[in-house]
Amino acid sequence: MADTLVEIRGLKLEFSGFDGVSRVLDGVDLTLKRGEILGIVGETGSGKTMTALSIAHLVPNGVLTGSVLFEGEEVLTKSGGALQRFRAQRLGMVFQDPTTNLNPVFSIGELLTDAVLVQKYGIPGWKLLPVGRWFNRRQRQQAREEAIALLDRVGIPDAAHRMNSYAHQLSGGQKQRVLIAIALAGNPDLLIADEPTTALDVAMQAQILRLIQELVRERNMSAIVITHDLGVVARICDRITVMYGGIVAESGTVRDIFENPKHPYTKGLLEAIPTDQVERGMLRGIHGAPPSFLKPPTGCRFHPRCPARMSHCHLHPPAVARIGPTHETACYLYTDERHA
Amino acid sequence: MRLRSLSLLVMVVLMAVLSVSAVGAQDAERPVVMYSLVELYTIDPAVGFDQAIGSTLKQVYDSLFRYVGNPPTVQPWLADSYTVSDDGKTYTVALRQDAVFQDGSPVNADAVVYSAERLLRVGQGAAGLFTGVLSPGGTTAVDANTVQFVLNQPYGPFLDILTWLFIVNPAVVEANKGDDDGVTYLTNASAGSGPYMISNWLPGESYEFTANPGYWRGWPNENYATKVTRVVTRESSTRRLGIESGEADFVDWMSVDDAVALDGVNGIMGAPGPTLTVYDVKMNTVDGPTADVNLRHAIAYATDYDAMLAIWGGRGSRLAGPLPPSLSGDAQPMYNRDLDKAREALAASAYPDGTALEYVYVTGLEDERRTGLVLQDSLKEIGIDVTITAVGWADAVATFADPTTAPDLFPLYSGTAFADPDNYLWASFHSSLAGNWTNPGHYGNPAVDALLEQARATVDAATRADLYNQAVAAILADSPNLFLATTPEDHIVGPRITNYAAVYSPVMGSMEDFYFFAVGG
Amino acid sequence: MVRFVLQRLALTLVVLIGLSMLTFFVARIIPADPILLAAGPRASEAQIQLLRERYGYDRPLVEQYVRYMGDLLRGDLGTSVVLKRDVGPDLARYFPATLELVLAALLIGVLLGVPLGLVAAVYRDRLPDQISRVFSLGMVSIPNFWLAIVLQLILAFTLTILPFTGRFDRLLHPPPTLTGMYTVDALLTLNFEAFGTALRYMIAPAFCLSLGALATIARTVRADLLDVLGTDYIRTARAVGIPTSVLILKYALKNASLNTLTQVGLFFGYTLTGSVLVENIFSWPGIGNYAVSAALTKDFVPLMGVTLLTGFAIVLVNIVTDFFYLVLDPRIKYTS
Repeated sequence: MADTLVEIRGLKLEFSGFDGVSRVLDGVDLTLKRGEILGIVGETGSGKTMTALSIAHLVPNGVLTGSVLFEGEEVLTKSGGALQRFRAQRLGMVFQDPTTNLNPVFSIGELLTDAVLVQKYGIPGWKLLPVGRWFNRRQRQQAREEAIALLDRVGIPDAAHRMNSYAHQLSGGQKQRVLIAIALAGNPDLLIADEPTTALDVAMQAQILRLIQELVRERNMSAIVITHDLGVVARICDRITVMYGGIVAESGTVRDIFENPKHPYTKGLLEAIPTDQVERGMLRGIHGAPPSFLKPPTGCRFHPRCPARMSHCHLHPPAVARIGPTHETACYLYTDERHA
Repeated sequence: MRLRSLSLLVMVVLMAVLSVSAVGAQDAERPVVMYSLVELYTIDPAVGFDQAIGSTLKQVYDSLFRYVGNPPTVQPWLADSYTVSDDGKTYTVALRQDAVFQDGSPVNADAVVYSAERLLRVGQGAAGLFTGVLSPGGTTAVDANTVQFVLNQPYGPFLDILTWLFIVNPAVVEANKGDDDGVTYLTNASAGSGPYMISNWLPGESYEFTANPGYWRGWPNENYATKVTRVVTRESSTRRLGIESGEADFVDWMSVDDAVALDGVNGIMGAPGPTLTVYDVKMNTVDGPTADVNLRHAIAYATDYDAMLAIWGGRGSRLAGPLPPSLSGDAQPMYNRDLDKAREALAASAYPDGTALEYVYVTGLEDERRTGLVLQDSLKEIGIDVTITAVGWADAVATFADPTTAPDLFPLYSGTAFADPDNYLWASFHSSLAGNWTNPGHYGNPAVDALLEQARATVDAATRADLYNQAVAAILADSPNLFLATTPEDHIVGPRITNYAAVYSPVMGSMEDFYFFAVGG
Repeated sequence: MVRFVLQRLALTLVVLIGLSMLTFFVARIIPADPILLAAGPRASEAQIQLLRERYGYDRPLVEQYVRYMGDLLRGDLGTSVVLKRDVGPDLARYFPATLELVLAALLIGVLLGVPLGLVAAVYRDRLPDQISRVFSLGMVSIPNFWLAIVLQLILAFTLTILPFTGRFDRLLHPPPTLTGMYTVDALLTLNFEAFGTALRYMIAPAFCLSLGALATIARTVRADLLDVLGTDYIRTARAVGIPTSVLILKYALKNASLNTLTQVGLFFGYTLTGSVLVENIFSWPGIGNYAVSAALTKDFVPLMGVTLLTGFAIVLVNIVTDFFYLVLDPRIKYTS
C-alpha cells in the first residue's frame, strides 16, 4: 500500500514582529504513510511543533505558505466549518503539558462527551451549549457511554466514576490519558502528539508511550510524535525526521538514523542519548545555541555549530542528498548541490 | 406524568383567573395630577404642619374658619357666626347645622372640643400656634352647635389660627385610638368632613384623593376635580417636563427660571402674586462682628438691593421691612444702597477697617447661593470680606441654638401659616424664640418684646396696627436682618386648571386648595 | 456546603452588628437634634420634652442602642421621628422597588455587557472591538442621571413611547404584593399584562443604572476572554475539532465569567447605594430618597434600618457570589 496520508511540500512559516520577520519554517518537506508512526526530533525552536500544527492548520497568526496535502486534499485552504470538521474527524492532537491543556472548569466527562459528539456524531456546536444540549439528551447519553468506554480503554480506573472529576483532581499521567482519549474520540486517521511525555515522570513516560503505540496500532492510525528525546522515538517510531532551525536535516527509518546517522547534527543528538540528560534548548555534544529566526545563519543553518563545517557551508543552503531508499539528509558532506 | 398534567391544568386555570381579574381596573377619568417635590408625611391635623400638608388637610378636614382669596381673608367655614367678649378672651362660635362628617354623622360642638383638646394633647404641628394662647380645658361646648374658647390672654389673630384647627370625627378617632391618640391611624385616614377622601396612599410615592360628591357645602364649580393625585417628584427637571408634557397639571417648587421660561407656553402659567413669603438675611446680633449695631447698619446700607431683586427675574418685590407688602401697606424701605452712609456707619463701628464674615446657606438652594454672591460683591466695597458656606438644613439648625456657633449671616424664607403681623414678628423677633430657626441671630430687644406682647393681647384692629408699626420701627432701627424681597410663588399650573388665578391664595396651606379648582379639557 | 453557608451567615451577623453600632453611634454623635426638627418651630419646651420621652431620646445612648437592637430582634425597626411612621413598612415598600431596579440594571449589564465583551474579544482590534471600546468608554463617562434626563426627554416626552415617571400605571392596580418587586410579582401570579406594564416603567431607569456595570462587564469579559482564548486548553479543544462557537460560548466563557461575577457582586452594592439620582428623575419610589432625606434630617431610625438592610443585602449577595464561584470553578473549595 503505497498510499501516503500526509504530504508536506515547501512549507514556510513567517511571523512579523516589531523586530522584523521571523522565518520559523523554511521549506519543510515531509511525507507520512498510512499506518506509520513518524517521530519528529529537534531542539526547542527547530520548527517541529509548527510543522505538526500546520497539519491541523492551527498555526497562530503567521504567514503559512507551501502545501499540506491530507489524502491528497489541501489543508491550508480549508477554513471555517470544513476545517473544524477536518480536525474533528481526521485528526487527534495531544500536547505537552496535560495540566494546562485540560480545561479546569469542566469535568472530564463533559469534555470527553463533547469530543465524542463533535468528532464522532458530527453534531452542530449549538447543541453543546447550555440550552441546545437539551435537544440532544438521548444522543448525549449515548456519547457518555462511549466516553466511559474510552476512558476505560486509555487506562483510567473506575472510569464511570471518574467522569465527574475535574482536571485538578487527576495526576499528570491520568490527565494525559484523558487528553489522549479526547484526541481519539472520533477515531481519527492521524494522531499528532507533541512532546506527549515531557511533562511526566520517567515511569509514566513509558506507560503513555506504550498506550499511544497500542492505540495507534489497534485503530489502524498513523501518528506523528514530536519530541526532542531520541529515546522516545526509538521506542515507538517507524521513521524519524530530524529538524534543525526550520528545515529538515535528516530523515529515515529508525534503523537508518540510529545505525547510520549522516548529518552532523543527528550525530550530535545521538551522542546525547547515553547520558539521558536533555536540557531545554541545549543538547549535549553540540556546542552553541540554536539559530535565531530573525537573522538565521546564511547557507546551511547548522554551520556555525557544525563540527564538520567546510568553507562553502555558509554560502548557500544544501540540497537534499539521498543516502538510501528511505534515508535522506541535507548536508554538503553528501552532495554538492545547492538547494533550489 | 399525571402530576405534570395536573400542575399544567392548575397553571392554566390560575392564569385565566388572574388575567380576568386584571382587566377592568382601568379608570377612564383622568385625575388632576400634581407633581410635588415634597412628601406628605402625615395628614393628622395634630401632627402635620407645612404647605403641602396644610393644603391637603383642607381637602380632608374642615376648620371653623378658612382663608380665601388674595389678599387672604378669614371666612367662616364650619362656623356660622361668632362673638368676642369685651376683654378679648372669650370667643363663642356658632356652628353651621348642615355640616356632616364623611361617615354622615354631624359636625357638632363636641367634635370641635375633642379636636382642640386632641391637638393640644398630641402637641405637634399646629399646636405650636396655640401655645400660650389656648390651654387644655379652654374649649367647651355650650350646646350641640355652639363652642366656646376661653383664652389665657387676649390674642388678636385668634380667628386666623383657628384656620389650623381641623375638626376630626371623634367616633372614628376613638375607634382607632391605639396607644398614641390615633396618630398612627390618622397618618393617612379620612376622618374629617372635608370634600375629598383618600383613595390611595403610597407614602413617598403618590397620594390619590377622590371627591365626595355629596360634600355638605356643595362645590363652587360644576366641573370640579373629581380625582386628584399628588405624585412625589423630587427632580425639578422631571417636574418641569411633567407640566410641559401635560402629564402633570400642577407642579410646585419650580425655579424662577423655569417659571419665566414656561409662562404662557401651551396655556401654562405661573401662580399670580403677590405672595406672603418674606426673604431676608438674618444677622447674628449676639456674637461676632455683626453684634455691633453700627456694622449691621453699614451692611444694610452697602447691600445692593437691585442686584438682589434680579435673582427673581423681576418677579419679586422689595421688602420695606419685616412684613410682606400686603401687611405693611405703603411703607417704604428704610435702607437703600448708599455707600457713603455705609462707610459712615462702618467708621462708627468697632471695625472701621472692615472685617470678615461668614454667610451660611442651605445646600442646593440656588436663590440663597446667589444672595451670598451679591452680598459678597456688595460688602467688598466697604472692606468686608464674605465667605460663603453651604450646609445641610439640619446641620445649620443645629448651630443656631448657641450664638457662638450661629452663623454671622443666614438667609431665610418665612412663609406664613396665617396672614397676621404676629405670625412674622413674634417668631422672628421675640426674644423667647432666640436660637429657634426662625430667629437664628438671637435677636432680642425688651422694647420690641413688650410691643409684640401688647399687640398680641389687643383685639382692637387699629390699636394693634399702631403697636405693630412701633414694633417694626424699633426692629428696623436695630437692623437685625437684611430685608430683601417678597419672593414669587413657586407653583406652575397647566391649562386644565382653568381658574387658578382667581382662587389662588398665598397663605401657607392654601396654594393647592383644589376644592376650588375648575377643571377643563 | 452547609458548613460554608453557616460560616458565612455567622460572619454576616458580625458584620451587621458592627455596622449597626457604627451607624448608631456616629449618627447620634452629630449634634443635630431630630426631635427639634420634628417638633417644628413653634413647639414649646414641654412639647419637645414630650416627644423626646415618646421616642426614648432622653435615655443614655448605650441604653437606646440596646433597646433598638432588642426591638430589632423582635422585628420592630422603630419609628421615624420626622416621618412619624414605622420604619418597617416603609422599608418593605421602598426596598423591593430599589432592589428590583438594581437587579434589572445588573441583568441588563450582564445581558448587554457580556455579548459586547464577547464581540470585542472575537473581533479583537477590529471595527466591532473599536466600537465596543468607544461605547464602553462613553457609558462609564456619562453620568447616569444625565442620561436619565435625556432618555426621559426623548423616550417619554418627545416620542412618548415609554411612561414618564413612576413604577406602574397610576390608573391601574399593581400586581399583588408577594416580593414587592412588581415584575416578579406579576410573573409569579402569571399576570403578563401587569408584567409588561411594570417592565415598560422599569426599562429606562434600569438601563440608566446599568451603565457602569454594563461597560465594566464588557471590558472585563473582553480582557478575560482574550486571556482564556490564548490558553493551551482552548488550543487543544480547537485542535480536536470543537467548533469555535462552543469554544467561545462554553469553554472560554465559563472561565472568563469568574471576574464578571466579581464585578456583578461589586456593582450590586454600588448600584444599590447609588441609585438615588436616577430614582429621583423617574420618581421611582425607592430606598434612595428615603435614605437621603433621613440622613439630611438626622432621622437616624430610618437611617439605621436602611443601613442594616442594605448591608445585609450586600453581604447576602456576596455570599451568593461566593456560592456561584463554587459552582463555576471546581478548583475553589471553601474550607476552614
